[in-house]
Amino acid sequence: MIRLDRVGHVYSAGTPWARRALGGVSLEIDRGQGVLVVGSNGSGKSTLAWILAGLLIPSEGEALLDDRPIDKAGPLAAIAFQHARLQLFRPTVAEDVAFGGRVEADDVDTALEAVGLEPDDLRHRRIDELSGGQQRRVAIAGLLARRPELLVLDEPFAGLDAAGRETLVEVVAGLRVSQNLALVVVSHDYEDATRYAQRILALEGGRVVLDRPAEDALAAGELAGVEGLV
Amino acid sequence: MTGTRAHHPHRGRGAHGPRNPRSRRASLADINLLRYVPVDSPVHRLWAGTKIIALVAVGAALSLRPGWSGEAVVTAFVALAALVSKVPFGAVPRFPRWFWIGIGLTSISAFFAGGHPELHLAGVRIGLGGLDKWARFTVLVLLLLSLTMVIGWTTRNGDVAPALAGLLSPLRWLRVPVDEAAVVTALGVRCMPLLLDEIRTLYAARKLRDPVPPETFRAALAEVNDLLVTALVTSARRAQEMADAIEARGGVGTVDPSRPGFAVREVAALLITVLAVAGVILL
Repeated sequence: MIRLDRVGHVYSAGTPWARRALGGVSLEIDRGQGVLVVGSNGSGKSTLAWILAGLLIPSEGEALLDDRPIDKAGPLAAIAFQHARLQLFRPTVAEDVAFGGRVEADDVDTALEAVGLEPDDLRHRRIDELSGGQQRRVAIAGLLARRPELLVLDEPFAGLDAAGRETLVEVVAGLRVSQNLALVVVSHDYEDATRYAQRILALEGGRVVLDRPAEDALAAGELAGVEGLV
Repeated sequence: MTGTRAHHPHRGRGAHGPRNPRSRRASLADINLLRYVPVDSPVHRLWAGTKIIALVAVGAALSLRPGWSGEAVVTAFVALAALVSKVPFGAVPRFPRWFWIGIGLTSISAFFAGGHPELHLAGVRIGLGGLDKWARFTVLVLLLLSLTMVIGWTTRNGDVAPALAGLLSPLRWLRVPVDEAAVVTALGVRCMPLLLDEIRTLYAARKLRDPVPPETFRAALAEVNDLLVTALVTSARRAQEMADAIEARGGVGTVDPSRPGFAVREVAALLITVLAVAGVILL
C-alpha cells in the first residue's frame, strides 16, 4: 500500500530560486486502485508523480510503499513518461523490454501482451519504426516486466490520435485489474476517467483541493471548479 | 480512501510535514546553472556585452599566462564582481560528492608525478611539481567557472544574443555570418532548460530499470552507446519540432543587436577588467 503523509517539496531549497511545488499532501492508495491526478500546469502533478515513483525524495513528510520509503523500493514503483522515446534504451522491442537484466524471455512476451501488443509481431521490430502510441506501450511493458506494485503514468494520452488514445485507455483500464497494481494516471485529460480510475484527485498550487470517487466528481461536475481544467 | 471537496489551497490548514533529512541530497532538478537571480545591482545593470568582454579578456589572459599571482588577481576580480552583484550566497552551487571525490583522486594522481619544486622531509625527497601544476590548473578552471556563474546570475538569457550580435557586428565587414551566429546563440540559450529536462528524464528512466552493472568493458560501452543513441534520437526529434515551429512562424528572423549606453558603470567595469588583465600579464 502507498502512503503519503504530509508530503511537500521545495525545489532548490535554500537558494534564490527556491520554489514550493507541493505542500501537505496526505493520501493512501491500495493495490488494485486507480487514481487520476488532475490539475493545471504548475499545480504539482509531475512533482507528485516523481515522488510516487521514488525518483524524488520529498523535502517534507514521508512517502512510503509497504511501510518503507518509496525511493528505496527499486522497481516496485515505476513511472512511464510522456515522451516515451526517452525511456527506450535498446534498438528492438524485445531487447528493450528485457533491458536491465533479471527479465526472462517469457516475461517479455507477458509484458507485451499486457499492454495489448502481439509479441510475435513486435518482438523484433525496431523501436524507431513504432508509432508514438506503440512506443508508449512498449515503455510501459518495460516497466511491467519488473512486476511493479505501483505504476504512475505521466500524461499517457497527450498527443495521441483518437484511435491511439482509445487503445491506450483500454490498455490502462485493463492493467490495474490484470496486474493488481496501484495505478496513478497524471493528466490534464479526464475524459473516460471512470474507465480506469475509481478516484480523482485535483491539485491546485501544490495542494490537494479535491479527492473524490471518480463517478461522483464527474457526475457533479466538480472538476469544473478546479483552476485550469475545463 | 475517499474524501470531499478539499480546502482552498491558500486558506487550508497549511500543515507542512516535518522536514525530511534524506531530501538534502541535491537532485538533478536542483541544477541551476547560469540561472538569473533577480536582484538590482550595478553588475545586473551592466550591458551583457561588457560582461562577455570581461569574461573573454580575463579568461584569455589567465590561459596565456597561468600562474599563482595571476590567479590571485582574478580571485580578487571574481570576489569583487560577486560582492557587487549582491547575489545571495545560497546561489553558489553545491557540488555532488562525486565531484569532490574526482578532485581528490586527480590530486593524488598528480602528486605521484613528482617534479620540482621538491620538499625534503626526514631525509625523503618529495617532488611537488605535479601537484603544483594540478592545483594551478584546477584553480584556473574553478575561477573561470565562478566568473561565468557571476555573469549567469546577473544576466538575463534573452540579453546574451543581442549583446553578442552587437559585439560581433564589426565582423560583418569580413563577411562573418554574425546574424546567424546570434540567432544560433539565442536558440541554444533557449534550449538549455529543455536539454536539462531531457537529461533529467533520461537519467530517471534509466534508474527505474534498475540495470545490472555490465560485466565486460564491451557491454559497458554498448550501454553507453544505447544511452547516447536515445539522447540523440530524442534531441533530433525535438530539434525537428522546433524547426517546424520556427518555419511556421516565418523563419528564424534576426536578432537586433544591443548597444551599451555610455554610462559610468560600463567604463568603470572595463577599466577594472583592463587592470585585472594587466595584473595577470605583468605580475
